[in-house]
Amino acid sequence: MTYADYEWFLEQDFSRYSGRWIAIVNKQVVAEGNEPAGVLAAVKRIMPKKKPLLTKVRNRLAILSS
Amino acid sequence: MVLTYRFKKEKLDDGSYVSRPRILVDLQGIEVTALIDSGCDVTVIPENLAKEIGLNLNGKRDKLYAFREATEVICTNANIKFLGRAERQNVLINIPVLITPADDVDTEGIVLGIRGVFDNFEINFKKARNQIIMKEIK
Repeated sequence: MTYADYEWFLEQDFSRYSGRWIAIVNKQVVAEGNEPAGVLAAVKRIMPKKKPLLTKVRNRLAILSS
Repeated sequence: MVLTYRFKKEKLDDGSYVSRPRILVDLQGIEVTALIDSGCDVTVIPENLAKEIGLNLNGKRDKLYAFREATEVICTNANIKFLGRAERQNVLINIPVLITPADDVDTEGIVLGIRGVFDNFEINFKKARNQIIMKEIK
């Protein structure tokens, strides 16, 4: 199911979550927050049997190379 | 094994768009998107995520130089499974990673760098076709 969520993720505009971690389950954003641990804990609480797709939304122009 | 991903079109804060090569991986049990960066020497993981997945935070300390600034990092290893559309396509590798202390609104999530990743895959970025093709090197 996560691959379907990944394909859905590719098509969406998450700019309203800029700078936040989000969790996706069944093509829906089910949790968001500044810390991945908190986001994953929220998913576990509300959907204990689901494995979310976690992603960090980043909406700044970037140079990432080391 | 050959894995195919797509670029993600992302809207920036200034209203413009960029397309970034974000792929799907399983990082020690957590399914997460990761950015492929052919200009980054080593894979980078933010500390708050590294703690969540149980990476060793007691490794050697080093510095990561990015553009004009240096960041203190921790050197360790992680199991990363590259996820395909079907489970039989998945490829698991263990690679060196750097853990960065900061994770704020301006930092990236997981950045997949050259060491380990580009040693295990021949990677073709086909922007015009919206494809990222990763062929496992045996």
